[in-house]
Amino acid sequence: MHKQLELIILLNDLELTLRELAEDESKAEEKMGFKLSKKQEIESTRKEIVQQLDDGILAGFRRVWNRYGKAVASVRNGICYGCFERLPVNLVARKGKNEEVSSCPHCGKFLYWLDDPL
Amino acid sequence: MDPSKREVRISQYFSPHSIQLSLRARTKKQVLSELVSFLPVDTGTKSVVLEVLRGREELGSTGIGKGVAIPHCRSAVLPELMLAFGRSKRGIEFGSMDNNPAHLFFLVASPPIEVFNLYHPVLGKIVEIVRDKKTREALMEVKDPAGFLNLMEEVLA
Repeated sequence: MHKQLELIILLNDLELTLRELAEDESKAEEKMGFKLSKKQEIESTRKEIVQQLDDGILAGFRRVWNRYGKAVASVRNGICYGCFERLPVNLVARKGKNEEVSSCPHCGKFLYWLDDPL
Repeated sequence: MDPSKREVRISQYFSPHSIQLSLRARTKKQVLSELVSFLPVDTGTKSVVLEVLRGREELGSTGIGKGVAIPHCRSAVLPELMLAFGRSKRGIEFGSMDNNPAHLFFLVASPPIEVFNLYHPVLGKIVEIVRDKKTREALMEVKDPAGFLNLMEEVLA
C-alpha cells in the first residue's frame, strides 16, 4: 500500500475514533467497562501522522473531512462506497490501485480498493 | 428494523481460523498482532488495522478486568465486521482495570459504516457474555474452536 494512502486511512480512522468518543453512542463504551482516559495520547499520534502527510494531501483530507465527516471511502466492484457512484474505467482498470493515492471524482474522498488489496 | 433490536448472533462472525486457544503472544503488543493475524484479510489491511488498534489502546486499555480484554476498532480498510478470539492460559499483562493479566481476548474490528450497525451491539453482547463467571470458566476450558463456537451458541441461546 502507498505510504501516504496508509497515513490517510490511519488519520481518518483516528479522527473517527476521536469523534465517536465525543458522541453519545460511544459513552456506551465507558458504560461497558472500557477505559477512556488518555485522549491526549491519541492526539499526539494524530499529530505525528499529520506531520508525515504531504501538504496537498492534507489539504485535500481536511477539505473532504470538513464537508462529509469522513475522508476515506472503500471501493467494491468499481463503486465508491462513499457516494455509491460508479467510478470511471480509467480508475478501475489499473493494477496495484492501492499503490497510488486516488480520490473519487464524484465526492472527492480518498479511495481504498477492497477488491485490489495488497 | 431498529438495529438495536436486531438479534446479534456473534458466532456467525467467527470462523475456525479466527479462534486460537493457545496464543503464542506474551506481551500486549504481540497479542494484538497475533489476533489481527487471524482476520481473513490481506497483509496490508492487517497492518492498518493493527495500527488503529494500537491507537485505540493508547486511549485507554480495553482490558476490562477478570481476565478479559476486548480490543476493538473501526477502520475504513475493513470490508465487514470481523471477530477473532484468543486464549492464553499463561495470561498476558494488558493494562487491565484490575491490574490482573488477561487470558481471554475478543477482537472486534469493523468498517466505519456497516449496513446493520452492529459494532456497538456486538461489543455490548461480548461484555455481557464475559461478565458471567461460569462462562469465563467455560471459555478457559474449551478444547477446540468447535467447542468455542458451541459455547457461544449456548450462552446466546
